[in-house]
Amino acid sequence: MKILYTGLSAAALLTSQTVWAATPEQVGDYAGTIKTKILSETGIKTSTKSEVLFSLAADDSTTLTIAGTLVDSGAVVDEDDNEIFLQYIPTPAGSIGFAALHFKKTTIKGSVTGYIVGPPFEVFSSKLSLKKVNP
Amino acid sequence: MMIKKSFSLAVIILSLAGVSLAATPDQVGDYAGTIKSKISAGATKTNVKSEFLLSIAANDQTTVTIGGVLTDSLGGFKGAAGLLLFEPDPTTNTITLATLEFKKGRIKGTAAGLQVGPPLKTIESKISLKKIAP
Repeated sequence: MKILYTGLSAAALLTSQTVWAATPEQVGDYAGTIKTKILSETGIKTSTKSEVLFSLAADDSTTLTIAGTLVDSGAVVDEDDNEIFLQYIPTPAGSIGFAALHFKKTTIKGSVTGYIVGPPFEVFSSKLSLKKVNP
Repeated sequence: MMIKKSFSLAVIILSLAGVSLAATPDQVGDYAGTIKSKISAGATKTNVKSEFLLSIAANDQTTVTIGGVLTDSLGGFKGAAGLLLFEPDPTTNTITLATLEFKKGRIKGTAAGLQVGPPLKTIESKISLKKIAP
């Protein structure tokens, strides 16, 4: 059995003394789509397209809804360079998505990788495209 | 400035603790190829292409060398699918999660991650490898 240990990722974040916060302009609600390619352990590939709602609050907490389902999420936002790193937990619980995202004016775009524990075990890669809808 | 919601990526430990992931005998071996990365920090975007060497041992331990530099990595493999967590730039605080597809002696992958700055940089990568041994 192989168990991934992400000590290095935690270390990468925790050893940094730098903190970030979203700007007032970045705070708000975003809506759009996520296009996902899924590869199963059996070799089967599927593609999906789902609606995404993403809210970035003034206290930098996040709310992420994918295809109508609320998923746990957390983000690091660089106010100066308009970059977002978003971690979320798609269903079923225990799965992980890493999103490297960019603000551009009132849109957010980027790439996602992750896995679903299954069974069957699946990995996925996605493209995310969002547009600010509120305020 | 204020601190963001803390990341507890240790959740990955929990999430995979009950999942049996192991490379098949034909997946074990050495792979060579390239990683193409787009590193973004706001308007500044940099494209980097580097040699990428991946070794998967029979005990599922991984060895990753990028541009000749050995970097920390952890892998998990099951059937046609695989995960690889690695530091694309060992000289900085970086983390990238790659999803891999095994197909006829080749691996193709996509990765997303971040480089902790400042400035914070996001990383999007494509990996293409071919088995070279055994």
